[in-house]
Amino acid sequence: MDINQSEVAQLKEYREKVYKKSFDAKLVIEFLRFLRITKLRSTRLVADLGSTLLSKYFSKITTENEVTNTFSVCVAYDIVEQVVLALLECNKAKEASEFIEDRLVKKFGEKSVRVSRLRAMQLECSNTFGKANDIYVGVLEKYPADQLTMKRQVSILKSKGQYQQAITMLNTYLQAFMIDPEAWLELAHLNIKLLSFKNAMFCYEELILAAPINYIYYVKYAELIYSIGGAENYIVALKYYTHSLELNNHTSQDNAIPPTNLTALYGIIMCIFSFCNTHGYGTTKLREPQIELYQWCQSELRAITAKYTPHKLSIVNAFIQHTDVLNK
Amino acid sequence: MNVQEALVLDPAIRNWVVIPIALILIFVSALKFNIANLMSQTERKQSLQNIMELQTILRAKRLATNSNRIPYQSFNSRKQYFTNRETGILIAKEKNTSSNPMGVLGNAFKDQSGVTDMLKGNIVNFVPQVGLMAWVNHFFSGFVAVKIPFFPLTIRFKTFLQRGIEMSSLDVSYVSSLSWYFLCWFGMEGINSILLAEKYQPNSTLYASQLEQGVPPQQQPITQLYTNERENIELINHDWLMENVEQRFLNKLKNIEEVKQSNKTSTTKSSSSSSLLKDKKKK
Repeated sequence: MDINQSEVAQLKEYREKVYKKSFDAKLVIEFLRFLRITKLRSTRLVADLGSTLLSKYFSKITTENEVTNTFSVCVAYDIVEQVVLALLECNKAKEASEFIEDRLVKKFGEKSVRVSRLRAMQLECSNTFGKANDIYVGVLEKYPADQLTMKRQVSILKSKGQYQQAITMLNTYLQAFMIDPEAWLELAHLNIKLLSFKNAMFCYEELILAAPINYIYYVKYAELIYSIGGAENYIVALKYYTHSLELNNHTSQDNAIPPTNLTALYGIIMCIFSFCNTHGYGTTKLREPQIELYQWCQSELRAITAKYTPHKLSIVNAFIQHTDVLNK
Repeated sequence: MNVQEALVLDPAIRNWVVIPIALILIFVSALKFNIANLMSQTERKQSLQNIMELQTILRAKRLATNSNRIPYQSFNSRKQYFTNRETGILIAKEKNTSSNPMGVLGNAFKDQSGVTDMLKGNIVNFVPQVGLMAWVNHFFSGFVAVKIPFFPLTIRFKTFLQRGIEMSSLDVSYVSSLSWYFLCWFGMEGINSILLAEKYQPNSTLYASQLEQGVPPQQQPITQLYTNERENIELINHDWLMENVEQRFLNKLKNIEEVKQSNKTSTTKSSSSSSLLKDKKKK
């Protein structure tokens, strides 16, 4: 996804601040809030800072906010959820379960769907998938349209390594929730894992339809087409790589940021190279702009390497020479 | 005018009319608030079928807008998926409902959950209001309850402030009991939010927010939307965006170069890549 540069800079700033000082509850709360809004991830930090925050300053969060804003008590529990998720990601199931039982179950009871989902995730983290799945099934009986729970079920199958089942499950999910890009992306990953590129292509087409100006999807799509192979497909892949460059080309941006779409440059070179090799005609079947583009990519690749990573120039040069179809 | 100013309101009216009406209104609205909460706790469950229909429409819309970005075969397979005469999902739906004797009408009335929700909300609002009005009307009709202190109002406010008292000579700044009731009713919102909002409802956010994002209830019958989308997709003239992408990209590069050149008339050399490109053009 597109990352907002200013947000990243802010994240860095926060990190430095948090590391520098001794523990400052207010700063940590602010930091957590920032992460929740921007959806950036800094799991380890959240797990460490958050658990100290919750174990020592929890009463402070709830009381302090109650005065200023009536809705902030909910915020306190949002923090709990955030920290629990981070802890689970860091494989600290024990601490997480303490927070779940102490804070959340007491407050919201056994029946709350969100809490029971967290509980199940904690079970997943400690590798008891059967029990976790039971909880999810129970939730789905009550709320048959609960997206998050279904997704968790897929993830259980995935972490068990049962990719085929995961794909079937995800397919049934997508029959109903067919505009969920996250699910399409996941399905594409699973299909790639099982080497069924055609299906993965379908998923990426869906993603392109959903987010038509995200260059990454085009790059990935082109890679899939290239992987399937065949002379025609190489040209199609070439086109999609080019389009991704159209959407993200560093020359149109500020030069201070290193270019982020080198894959497309390499991809174009490889496409032409493979096309010429499979076809056997050499460059005769290529169109004029394609050759021009190919040359531009070579020079661009050299220039970028020379500018940002000069010590790798010899490798890149070797690559370019090896794939050179014009001067053979 | 002097005669009217001398109008004295009995303190008993204050004690037995003005204050009771205000108090009872506060109680009732507090009750109403809680009852509404209780009722809304039985949260709306969304059927999978409903979600699927809505998302199908959205997906079809996406295909219609961005179809030029995927290759022709991919587009065609999707088109078949949506609009095939026998199996297309936009058509299968139509068949099902047209076999229904009620047809479109039946479909429109099928989804009743939204209606009952609205009904509940209305009952909670409506019943106490009618009851209280009857109560005030019955017991306190004809009382001049309050005098507005600040400034004289125009005659137009008479119907608003002196409902239940048909006296043309009475100054407008006197308020009848029924109107006092209405004033309290409308003014209650703000007081309520101060008095009652401190109470924390866990259900409202932690419980529901992530659970099921509600999709607004469908107004138009779904078959009609389906037909629209099907026609849209059938009318698409697929014109692959990537047909000439190489030339387009190169042109774009040249444009950028030209802009740069015109900007930098000074001696600073443009980046190596651009110069290479220019060299190639000369060749």
